[in-house]
Order: sequence, then C-alpha cells, then structure tokens
Amino acid sequence: MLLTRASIKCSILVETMNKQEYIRNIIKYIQNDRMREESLRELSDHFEDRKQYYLNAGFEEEVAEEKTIACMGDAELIGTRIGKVHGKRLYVPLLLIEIVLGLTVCFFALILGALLWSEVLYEQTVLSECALLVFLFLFAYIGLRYRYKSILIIACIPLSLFLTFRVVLGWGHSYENALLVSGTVWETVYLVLGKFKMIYEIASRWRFVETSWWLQVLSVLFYAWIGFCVIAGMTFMVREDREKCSLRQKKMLKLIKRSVLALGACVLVSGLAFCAVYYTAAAAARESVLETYSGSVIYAKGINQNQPFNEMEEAFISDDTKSLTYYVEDISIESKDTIQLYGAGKDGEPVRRIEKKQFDNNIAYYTVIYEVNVKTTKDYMFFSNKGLKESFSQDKWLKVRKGEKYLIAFEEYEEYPLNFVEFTIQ
Amino acid sequence: MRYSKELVKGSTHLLVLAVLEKEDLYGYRICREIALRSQNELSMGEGTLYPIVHALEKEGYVESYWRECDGRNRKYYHITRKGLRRLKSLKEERIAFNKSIDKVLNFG
Repeated sequence: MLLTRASIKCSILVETMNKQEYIRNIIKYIQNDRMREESLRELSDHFEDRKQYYLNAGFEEEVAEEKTIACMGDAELIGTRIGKVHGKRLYVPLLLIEIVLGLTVCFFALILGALLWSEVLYEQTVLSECALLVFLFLFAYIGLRYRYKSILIIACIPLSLFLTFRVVLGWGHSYENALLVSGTVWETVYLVLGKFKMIYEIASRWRFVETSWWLQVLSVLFYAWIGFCVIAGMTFMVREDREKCSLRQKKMLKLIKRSVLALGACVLVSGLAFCAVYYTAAAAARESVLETYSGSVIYAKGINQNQPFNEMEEAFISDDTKSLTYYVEDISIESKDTIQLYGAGKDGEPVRRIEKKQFDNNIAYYTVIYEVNVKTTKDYMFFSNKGLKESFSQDKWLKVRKGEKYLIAFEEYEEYPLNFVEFTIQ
Repeated sequence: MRYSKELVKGSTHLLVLAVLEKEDLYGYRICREIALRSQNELSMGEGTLYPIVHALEKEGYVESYWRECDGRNRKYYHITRKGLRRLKSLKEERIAFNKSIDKVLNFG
C-alpha cells in the first residue's frame, strides 16, 4: 500500500496534534507562497472530508480527528513532496539571469551613456534608466514568485522597454540619440536597411523623420500601452492563479491573458519596427546631407516660419563634425543719441542673442534671434520697417532683426509722436 | 490483496488520470474513487495523491478550479485534452506491459 509507511510514522504524532497544527506542519515545507496558501485550503477540505467519514462511522469528534491525522500520514512527508513539485520561491539560475540583465542596463545607462551622451540627455536618460531598473526588478520579482515560464517574457520586456523608452525620450534629440545607439541596435538596423532608399522615401512621405509634438504624444501613448499590456497581462496571470474561479472563468482569464500579452507583443514589435524605420530614414537623411555639403559653406534657413528672423545665415558643415553649426558675428548697435539703449543683457550688453536649436531631418539648426533692451521712463511705440509693432509703457526686450531700421517713438502728444529714435542692428 | 509499493508506484499517474476521465473530482473523492473501483484493494494516501495531481496540473494534464459543493469550496481537478491523450498512451503502455509480463510468467 502507498500509505503504509506514512501511516505508521504518523500514528506517533497523533496524540499531540490537532488539525491546525497538522496542516501547518504540512504547509511549512511548501516554499512557494501561492501554493502554500492554496494547499492550506485544499488540505483543510480534505481533512474535513476524511474526518466526516469517521464521524459517520460513529467515532467521537476527537477520535475522528486523530484517526484522520493518522490516515493522512506524516505531515513532513506530504509537505516535502508537494513542496518538491512546486519548487522554491526563488529560482537561482533565473535570478542570475535577472542580475545579468540588470547589469547590462546599468552598463548602457551609466557607463556607455556617460561617455556618449550630452549632459542634458545624460540627466534625462539616467533618470529613465533608473525607473527602468525598478521596472526590471519589479517584474522579475513577480515572475520569480509565480510561473517559471513567465520569466522569459518578463526578462525580455524590460529590456525592450529600456531601448524604446530611450528612443521616446530622445525623440526631440534624435540625432544625438542615433549616435548613442549607433553601437548597439540601430547601427545594425541602419546597415541592413539603410541601403534601401525606398525606406527613406516612404518615411519621408509619411513625415516620420520630422519631429512634431503629435508624434511624440503618439509615441508616448504607444509605449504607455505596452506598459499597460504588461501590467494587465501580469495581473491576469496572478488573478488566474489566485482567485477561486470556475473552470469557465479560468479558461476565459487564460484566454484574455494570452490575448493581452499577444497584443502587447505585437505593439512592442511594431513599435520597434517603427523606430527602426524612423532611425533608418533619419540616418539616411543625415548621410545624404553630409555627403552633399561636407566641407563647404552653405546657407541654411530657419525651419520655423513663425520665427521673427529666419533670414539666411551662414553655416558650415565640417568633415568630421556631424552637426550643422552657425557662426554668427557679434553685433553692435548704432543709434542717434536721443535715447539710450541700456545694456541689460546677461553680461551688460545692450543686445542679446538667443540661439534656438531645432531639428529637421535629424540635422541640428540654430536659429538666432536678437533682442534689444529699451529702457525709458515714458510710454513709447516700437516701429519696424513693416509698421507698428507694439506699444509699451515699461522697459522691454524687443525682438529686432539684423540690418533693419527701427523706430521708437514717444507719445508726448496723443496723436503725433514728436520724439523718436532710430537705430539699426549692425 | 496488498500490492507492493514498487508495483503501485509506476501506476499512480494512470490511476489518477483514469478516475478523472469521466468526471471532475476533488482530492478526497479521487482517493475514494480509487479505493471504490479497486474494491479497497488499492488506496492512495495524501502524501502520494497531492504531489501527483499537482505535478499533473503543472504538466498540463489536468487543470484545477474551485467549485462549491455541499456548502464547501473544493478544488476540483479536470482532465485536459493533453491529459486524455496521456491517459490513452499510459493505458496502451500498461496493456502491453501486462502482456509482456504474462509472456514471461507463462513461458513454456
């Protein structure tokens, strides 16, 4: 008989044990949290059934309980056997995999990142990498507690998120980002796909290569959805195991869980494919521009038509530099001495220069705006050669354009400006 | 008649899957069913039953669910298609094995 050894061993313990103690003695050998809880309920039910059998046979309650314990057998034996099936809570090899993955993330984020990224990007991305590390270990923890087979999915998703989040954050700085990942993924993608001009053309047609707010929003939503899928998938996984569900409910939960995970995987793959196309096209565009203009002086135009000054400025692309750089001469102000233009700029200069950095086809464009500070104690109007610009009562930084004449007029009389000053930004 | 432990050990999966073939059962009922069908010649203790059903569940041969029965929530086991296929192959294997044993015993 299967039970013989267990029955003999356990009969010794019967006198000193009640149901709670007996069941507790069994489950203490089960190291898997979820199974411990479930086994507790299952074995308690079993205990009650068997006890009921003895009660029906006419035994006293106390005797029935003792007989049940004797019949069920050695608690340690049952516990260790069940525990052996479900294994330990932590799987050491899988934990090692997680540690390796974590160290990989650390390497890219903190070492490689520090070498390659600009300061601003470094700050932004380090924060994101830290958040991703939390994600990584959170998912790993959940995975280690539950299904063995989930680990692979769980281990892959944070790494994918690591790459894609970096892309999202670097969207507005795609050139730097492309440089950053050139040694890892996108370089390979570019090498494989970048040779096909068609990809660039398609991407250009759909304006994938242009940076725009809606693309950024879309991309954030894109990856937020991935995050949702992962969390939802995990939730279903946990619910399916933990809750008391009917068979039909359980099957449905399993189906939903698989669908959500499959959907998440599809979105993830398509997201990565999207990024691959984007960067391939971007890299192709950059290559194209650099090939055309490398080593020569060109005239580039600010891309934002709403900027006040988008005249042609001299720009230069060097052989070794992969960005477009403006060289703007210092400017000075010439004015008739009727009004004083104060130096209220950062370093006391009367005129200040603002550089706006923008990206088009992954080429950095610097648009330069000049502002002049006008300080008076009187109300005045500001004229440009295009007519009335604005009316002010206090000192103000005014946007001016290089080489144009401006007029500042004071309204000493209501309709006719009598006092005025004309100046030119040289 | 009592059977040796070694003899029964190789048949535990077959026994559990066989009693689950017709209907879903919970742990205690599985024990009872085995005893009933074998006319009390076979019995399976908790130390054997639960590790087996849990292992079968882990391998996908059975799946469990909770259902209320007689005012109590019980964990029922249901044989899956994979489990049915496994049962079929175990049965075939057992029949072939018995035949082989018979051949040896009745030789000559």
